[in-house]
Amino acid sequence: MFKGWIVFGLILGYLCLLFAIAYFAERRERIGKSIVSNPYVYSLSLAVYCTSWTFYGSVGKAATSGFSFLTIYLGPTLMAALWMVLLKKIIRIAKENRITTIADFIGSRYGNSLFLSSLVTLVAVIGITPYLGLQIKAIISTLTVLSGQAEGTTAAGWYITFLLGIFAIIFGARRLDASERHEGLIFAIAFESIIKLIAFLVVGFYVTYVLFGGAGDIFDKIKSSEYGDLLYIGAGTQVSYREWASLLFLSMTAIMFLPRQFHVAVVENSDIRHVSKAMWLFPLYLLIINIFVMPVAFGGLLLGGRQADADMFMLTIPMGQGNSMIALLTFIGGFSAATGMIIVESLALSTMVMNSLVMPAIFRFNEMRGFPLVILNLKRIVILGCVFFGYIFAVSIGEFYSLVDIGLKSFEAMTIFSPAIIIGLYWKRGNRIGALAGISAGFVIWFYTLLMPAMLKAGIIGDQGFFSMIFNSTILNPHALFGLQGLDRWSHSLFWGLFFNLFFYVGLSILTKQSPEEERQALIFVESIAPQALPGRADYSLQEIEAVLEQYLGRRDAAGIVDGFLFRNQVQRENLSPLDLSRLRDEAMRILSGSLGSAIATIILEDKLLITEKERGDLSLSIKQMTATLRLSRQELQEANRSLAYLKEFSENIIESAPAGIVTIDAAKRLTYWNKEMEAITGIRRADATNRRITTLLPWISINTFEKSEKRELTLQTPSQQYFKIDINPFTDPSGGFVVIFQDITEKRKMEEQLLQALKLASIGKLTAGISHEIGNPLASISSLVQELRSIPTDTRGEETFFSDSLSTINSHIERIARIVRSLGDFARISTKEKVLCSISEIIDRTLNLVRYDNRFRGIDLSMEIGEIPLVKVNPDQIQQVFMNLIINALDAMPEGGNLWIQIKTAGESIVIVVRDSGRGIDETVMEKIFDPFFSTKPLGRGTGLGLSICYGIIREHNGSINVKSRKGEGTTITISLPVER
Amino acid sequence: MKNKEFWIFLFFLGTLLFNWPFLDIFSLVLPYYFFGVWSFFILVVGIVATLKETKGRDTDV
Repeated sequence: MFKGWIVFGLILGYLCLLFAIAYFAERRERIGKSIVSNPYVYSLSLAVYCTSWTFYGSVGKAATSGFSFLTIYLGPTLMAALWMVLLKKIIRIAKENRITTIADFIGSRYGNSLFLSSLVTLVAVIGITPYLGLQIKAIISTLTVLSGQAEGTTAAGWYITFLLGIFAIIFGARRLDASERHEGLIFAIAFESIIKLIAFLVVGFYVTYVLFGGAGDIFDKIKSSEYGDLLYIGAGTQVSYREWASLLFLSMTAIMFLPRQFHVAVVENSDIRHVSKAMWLFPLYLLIINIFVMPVAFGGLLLGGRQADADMFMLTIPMGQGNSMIALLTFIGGFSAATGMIIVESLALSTMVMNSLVMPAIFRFNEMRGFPLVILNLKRIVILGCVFFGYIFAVSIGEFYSLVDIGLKSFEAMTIFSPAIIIGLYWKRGNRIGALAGISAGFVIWFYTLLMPAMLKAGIIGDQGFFSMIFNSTILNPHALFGLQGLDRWSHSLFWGLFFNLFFYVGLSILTKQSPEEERQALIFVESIAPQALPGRADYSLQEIEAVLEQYLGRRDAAGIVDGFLFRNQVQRENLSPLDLSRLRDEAMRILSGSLGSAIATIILEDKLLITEKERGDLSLSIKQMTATLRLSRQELQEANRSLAYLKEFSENIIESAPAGIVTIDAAKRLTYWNKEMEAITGIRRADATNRRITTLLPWISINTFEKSEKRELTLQTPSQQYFKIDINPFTDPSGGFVVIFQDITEKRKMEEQLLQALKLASIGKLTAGISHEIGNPLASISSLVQELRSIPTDTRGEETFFSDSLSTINSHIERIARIVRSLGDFARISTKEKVLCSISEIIDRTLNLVRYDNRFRGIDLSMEIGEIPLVKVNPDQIQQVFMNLIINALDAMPEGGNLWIQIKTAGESIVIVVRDSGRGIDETVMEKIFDPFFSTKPLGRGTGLGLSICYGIIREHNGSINVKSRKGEGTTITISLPVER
Repeated sequence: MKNKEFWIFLFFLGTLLFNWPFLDIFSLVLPYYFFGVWSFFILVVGIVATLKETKGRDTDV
């Protein structure tokens, strides 16, 4: 036994601890270090489902009906398997449509109907009141047990109820919160979930392993006792399979549609990905907290407890054994379980009442001074009202029923919403009239079959007169409607409730039409399409939006919201574009929805933000047209999605496997794509490249390269001596940007240079015969003269004239050989890459000096016509190679000799070099192939076929042109044009 | 089997396992059956949800 003031002090201390924890979590959120936004806190917050019903009621149910208590936890476990499909969809829709309550959700689905959301609110308040009463009853009952006296505990219950109401206000209504999330509250709920789990496990362990020899021992003992049938289900036991199935269904709908569950699972969800972990963490929590329920229930019975008192076994067993600490821990655990439910449920209910009932009645008084404070105080009153409503139920009706019985009544009430929500998420035809009729019918059945008998039992309504007539009739008996006998009350109420609900919902939805707004909302919910913004026809200013916010949230909050928006979007008050204003309007809509509900927020903004009647008509027409346009079937959209996904994968595969670097840049020259080959080429990873400017990553590309939006091809050299051929293609999209393709041609360049060198040597090879003749002649003369000089007797060497002449001749021959060797050496050395200012005529002279060594040149009649030509910037070695090639080809075409005519002249901004021969000419049929690599008209082994191809490449690199005119038997004329680059 | 179909299948399988006739079949060992199947169900959901999360696959209906 504990003194009343000790327990009260404990309660107060615990609530203060909860508040401190909540405050800590909110402070962390404000500095950007949220400790709530993670899947573990999310999963623990869902455990608000486990109330004092779990703590005490489950044990009571297990002691009276055996395993049936498990349905309350198996239902949510099974439902959790569908969360990936169902809950994620609901969360997505709720976030996109700024929905903050289940009434809002249903009202929004059926055309933003305020009337429907009001009806849902009424049903929820009446349906949940027994559940709130259950918690308060549990607190009063446990207080009675702990203090050992019943007197005064009801009054104490009143004070505790009031205290809980105050704490609910502190947690959730300190200010008219513009955000629908309350991180402090959620963290406190998660903390409470841990406390109640620990408390339950401690008590369970104590009963199972300290008072008894384990679970097996308990089950064996109970099997052989008078309570043996508690271990079975079905015929001859306390719970039939039918009731089992009904209870399972009830708990499945409860976990989804209880207002507090909707609030923590949907509204308070900060990241939809948390659902994936919650799908198994939450059922795991349910499993663990239920492990010791049966051992405690059976243990209590075996220790001599009565089934009627089984609800309190968790407390009475440790107290009966003199273990007051465990009893206190149990009380704290049970209190945790109750407070969490009361606070969250009253908050959720008060939000629904405010959004659907109060605000529609008073929003037109928004001009009144201090209107935001009025709203806030009304919300606080509603919270207290909800809590005290529960208290009244607890003290008037609650004493006649067990905790579980009271809770199941509320669970049955939540099934009323299930057709409108679940079918409404997948069936576009479901309409407002159907939903209204279905929910109304379901509520009437629930009230008549469950609540009225409870009120009768409690004496609130008398069993006489009209009530006696209908209750005792065959057709309208609340326990056997329309004469249907043999069902337990849960199955009976569930069956008729769902039957009439579905009948009216589906029937009227088929028989009646939807409004355009309902059609639009149906598309948004069923197809999960994000809601389109209202067409920007309205004329509104920042001042008007701020004024609307000020009226409902207060001046300081309104200014904070607007300033925050301006700061985040880096815009000034004076320079807001229509797009910025539209975004601010959406933000205001979101914030007002969080505080007042989306239906009322829509009305307020429509009312306030200057849409004229004509614009309303136009708007309605736009919505109709939008709805018609949006009427794509799910299948077509999915098909289109699949095709798109396939095309995307196909394109990406091609781009990623291409042997060229492919990048895309936007209009700001920032990289938006960087393929795998670019990573290999540059060593820069895609993640490091994306969003950076191309000239930062590749500084060897000039920014001017992308100045004009035109197709270009260029060759660039990097500082590391790599060559890239770059193709630049602009996007046709107005947003601009380019696709740039990089090909590493370094190896190709090297090969071209080697080829050029080989060609040079090949050219020299062709001249070998002539060169050896040219060197051989002077060498023969030198040899002959030396022999003569040696044969002259030494005493007659006074003939100095002969000696002098001979030495001069020898010297001149040596110089001639040296010239030949030098010119060969000059020609044979590896070409430079530089372009320098040169005289084309000097290059031709150098070439002719070498070609003269070819024997065939003797039979050639050379004519030169060289005009006044400027110096040009060329690579002299490469141009010399071109001339060498052309002249040798001409010699090849004139084996018996002929005419060779070379002309150099200026033509505009170019120099033109014409080389004409009177050789055998080129057949017309092969003319277009002569510049192709490896094409040759010479016999096999006489030519590589690369000469003209290389000449063509060299002239193109000099931005020049080379043309050939020829006829078989009439000679060939080759014209080269080189631009005068200075 | 697609993502969505898998979860619907698991839901109905679980509902079947926790109803008649399986409860009747295992009536003599009900406590062990309940907690055994319950644990196994949670394990399957946990493994599959974690795998799908890793692969980045999402489901929406």
